[in-house]
Amino acid sequence: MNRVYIYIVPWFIPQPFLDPCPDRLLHVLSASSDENLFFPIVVIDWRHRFVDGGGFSSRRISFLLPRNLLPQGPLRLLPFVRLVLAINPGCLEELMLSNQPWLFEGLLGFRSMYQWDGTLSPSEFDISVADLCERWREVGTSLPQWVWLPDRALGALSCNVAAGYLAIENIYHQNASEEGSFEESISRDEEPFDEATLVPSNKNDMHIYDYHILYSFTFRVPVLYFRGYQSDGCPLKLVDIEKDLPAYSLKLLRESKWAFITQEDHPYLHRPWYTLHPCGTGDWMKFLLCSDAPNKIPPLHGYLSAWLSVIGQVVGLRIPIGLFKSV
Amino acid sequence: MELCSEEAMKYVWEGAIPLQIHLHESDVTTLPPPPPALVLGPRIGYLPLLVPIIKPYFSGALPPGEDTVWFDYKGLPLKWYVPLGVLFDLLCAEPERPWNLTVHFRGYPGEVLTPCEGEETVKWSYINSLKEAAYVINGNSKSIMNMPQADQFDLWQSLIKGDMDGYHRISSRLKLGPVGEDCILNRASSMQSRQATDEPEIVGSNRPSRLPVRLYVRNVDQDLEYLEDVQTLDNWDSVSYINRAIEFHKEGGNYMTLKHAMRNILREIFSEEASTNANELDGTEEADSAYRDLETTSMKNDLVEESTFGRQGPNKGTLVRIQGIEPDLDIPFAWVVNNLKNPDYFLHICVYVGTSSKAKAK
Repeated sequence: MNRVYIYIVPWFIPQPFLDPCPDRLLHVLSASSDENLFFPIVVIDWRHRFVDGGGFSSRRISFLLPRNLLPQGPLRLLPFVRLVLAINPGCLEELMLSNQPWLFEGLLGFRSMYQWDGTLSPSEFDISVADLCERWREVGTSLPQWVWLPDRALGALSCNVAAGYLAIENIYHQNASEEGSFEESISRDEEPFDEATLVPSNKNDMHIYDYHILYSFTFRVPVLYFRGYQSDGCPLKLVDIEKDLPAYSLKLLRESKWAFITQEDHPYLHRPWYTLHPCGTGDWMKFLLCSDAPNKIPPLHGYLSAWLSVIGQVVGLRIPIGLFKSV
Repeated sequence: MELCSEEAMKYVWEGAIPLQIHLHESDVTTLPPPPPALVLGPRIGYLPLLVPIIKPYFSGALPPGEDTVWFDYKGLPLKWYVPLGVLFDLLCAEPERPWNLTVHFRGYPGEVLTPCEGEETVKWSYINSLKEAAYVINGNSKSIMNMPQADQFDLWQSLIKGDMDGYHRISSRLKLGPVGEDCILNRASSMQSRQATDEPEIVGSNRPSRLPVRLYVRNVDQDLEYLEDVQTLDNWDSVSYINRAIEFHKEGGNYMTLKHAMRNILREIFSEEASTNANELDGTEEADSAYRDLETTSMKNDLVEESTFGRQGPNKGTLVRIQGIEPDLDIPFAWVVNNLKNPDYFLHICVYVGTSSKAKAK
């Protein structure tokens, strides 16, 4: 048995990021004869790309390095997510690939160490909405712009903060046969669907998606509502939507108890939309934004951009890379 | 237990609405069409739970095929996940007795109503509301997530059968109340909660109390003095659905009142209310003096009576309905929550917003 430091890999990290780990780790471990050798395996930060050659370009991350190559002095690791286990290499591979819920449960056990619970207030939500729209505009993506639609039901009687939703609509997604291709339609501020803008004979296999971001006053986090439909307006069933999702997203949605799609009434449109349940959002957003300084509340204007970088992957909404800078 | 009233809770649990359920003409295959079904629907229940009673009654007249049951009121499809009493309070400005509903067994309007496959769907909708309420109150849903399967079943059966005592036996283990800083039982449950928790929960102890509230707001654009003239709702877009958590706290040493709570959510509407009240200082003082003696047993009974049967106060541009009554806005909010909430621990409030008589006079 070798003692291995295993750090929690968040559930939302796409599977391909994990693939290189076991082989390299097994290789290094099998070559070692020192019983006291430790290999710190740290969290793979979503903001860093995998660099070929077995290393990550981050001062905080060390990965699969022989002991004599470790930098001088103690590593500034993340003590609050460290679990020390006696485990053999075979089990480690299985563990790393299984995305077991208890790995994330371990994080919950440290919740009391935080002052910030991963949530944001209505006014902070409004600020991060403005921040996301600005980033999206600056990046200059070919996708439509996000548009804020305030709640109009009460008219002038209501000017509550965070009452309304942020919408990006008419996102085209071609069927699985043409995987990965995205196209754009003209963004519309109004709800009515103008079918005249489409050419049915050319696009009858297109799936079109609308995405809305709302603020949950219960969980104090953003919530994604979305729907899919065909070019003739027929709504897509959940099985059809799942076919449009990335492979790792499907695996995640089926195995994780923190992310699941349900059909609920849109709070402002009063008809069924699909949504990702927000009950676990506060916990993983806390982890995402607090990993650098656990006892400090992070700047929250970038909350929504960071949140979207995760949620967008889950539902297959492409996020421009530039959005992640300085989050 | 000065903030909890067994009598008031019993009235809520026994609340029922006389329904006259007509089979929609497109589903009738016999002549003459069957007479409407007369059913007493529990206020705290849900429409799909009436199907086991209704379907046998109409089965002889139904066309062949698979049933997809839904209800409408004057053409408006009814949201099945909203408690029956809330639907009635929201859609009948002037209570209609019996309440005439139409039942359909075909042609489910999937673009407007979320799917409902029967009792199991309603049960999970209820459990999800319970989880949400637990998150609001405790900051997490552990007490619901960790509920044993048997308890979950018994809790749901208590709700279906209207068994209040059975319900309270199980719900008391969920550590979700009652609300009120001075309530002895609240302190006891707080101590129990602290012992049960392994982690110190530093953050939780600093967190202000939050209460789960759902508002259904209708802007009716007419004087509320004549409720029988309010037009029928023809689509759900005229209703503002507000799912909000209210922070519970003392106001300058006094209890937080229902008025304060409403002002927190609908600031513009109930700020006008406050300014209107300022012109009637005598009434306000009288109300304050009445509730200042809340500890007195006799006043407690009077309070219960007033709340239960509704006080016919003057309309001031808004009408607030909870469990079919229009409570005085100066009532302590903790009392309203503890006694008038639904079994999902949400306080469901219907609000009618009309043009006030003063505005009309201008």
